[in-house]
Amino acid sequence: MAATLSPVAATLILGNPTVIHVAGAVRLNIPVMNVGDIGLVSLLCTNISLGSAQRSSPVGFPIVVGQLAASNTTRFAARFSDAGLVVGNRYLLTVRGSYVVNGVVYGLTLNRYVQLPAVTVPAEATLSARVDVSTSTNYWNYKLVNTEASGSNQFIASLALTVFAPVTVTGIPPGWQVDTDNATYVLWTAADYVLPYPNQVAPGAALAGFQLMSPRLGSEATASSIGGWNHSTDDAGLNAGDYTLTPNRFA
Amino acid sequence: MDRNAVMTTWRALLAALWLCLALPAQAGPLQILPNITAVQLGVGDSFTVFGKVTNITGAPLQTTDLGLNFSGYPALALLTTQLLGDPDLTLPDRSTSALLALFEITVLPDAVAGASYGIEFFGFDFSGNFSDAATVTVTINGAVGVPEPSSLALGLTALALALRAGRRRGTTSTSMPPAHQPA
Repeated sequence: MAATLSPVAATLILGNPTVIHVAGAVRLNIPVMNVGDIGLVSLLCTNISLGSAQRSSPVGFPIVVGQLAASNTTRFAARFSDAGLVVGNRYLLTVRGSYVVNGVVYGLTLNRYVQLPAVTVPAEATLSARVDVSTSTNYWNYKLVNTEASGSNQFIASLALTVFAPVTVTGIPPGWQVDTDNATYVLWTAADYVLPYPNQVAPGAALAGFQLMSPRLGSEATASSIGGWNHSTDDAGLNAGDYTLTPNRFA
Repeated sequence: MDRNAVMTTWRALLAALWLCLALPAQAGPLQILPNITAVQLGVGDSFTVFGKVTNITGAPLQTTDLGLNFSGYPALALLTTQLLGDPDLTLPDRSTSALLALFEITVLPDAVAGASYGIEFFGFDFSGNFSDAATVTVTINGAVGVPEPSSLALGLTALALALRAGRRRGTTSTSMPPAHQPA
């Protein structure tokens, strides 16, 4: 006899997201609120969409939330291209996910329309850079790309990953070094000590060779941070925070 | 006034009081009611659920003011997509809409034939008004244990071939000369 599931509802809603429209991109900070009386366990976010806009971050899923107690809120960040979007129009923001009740995985779809604001200059400057990730069985490869404008003084000096799985660092680019506890974080830094810091990643340049190995096969999206170094002031520069894919904590 | 009249009056008052207390609770300011509660679909099918929205929030609403939230369905069996808000329509205060496309259900390949899945959903607006939850039950076409048509056809073909082969063997053995019969 086929399994017959009875509805087990989750009373989650999307709160009013922070929407920042900068040149070429729409950044959202999305609160997900549990307005019910029951906490959820094994909560995952498996997709975020904004109308038909192309998503640039997160590059992959799931984002593992775990528990979300009653009356609590969790947040997701997402970034989309603004190509084809019209200022003032409303677009459907959809967050998909899943949660577990009595060993059964239930689906979750949360919706809310958001209005695209006019382009603004972000209140807080961030480093224009990204991490490209590719995976093969048991390996995660990262490439740093400095997308600062030519002539910028912001060079990339570090890459930090949050991980939730056992990892071994198997790739360190020449001129870089690594620090890790093999379980919760990995920090690569350029092994430069004086100007002109030849191993840092210059504006417009890219550097591959960052690699992790893990017994896990799947991936999840976790926080990453790219640290900049200002060559003009010879001091810490701007940072860029985002999600990237790392070994999955479960499998 | 005699005793019976007093008792009758008290009974009438109590009945009136009971009726007042027993009146159904007033519906919330936002109601979203699907026009179906159950549907039968096959794997790969998509189905649009229509319904009516009643706005008694005290202010006009746009359909893009409304978000629908779905849960309680097996994540690998069904996909739900909000359609309400496209197109964007005005819902005047104290009005009920015509039938609107609320959402679409898509049956994914992992859905089990014969199973019934509930999708619970509710809506909310930007002002924090919530509709009551509603459930649409999706029953997946087919019954467990009944072979698919393609399997059934293959089985019948194999049976027919076996019977034909058996008949031919029988004919051949009776036409063999006696000398070739085993002793």
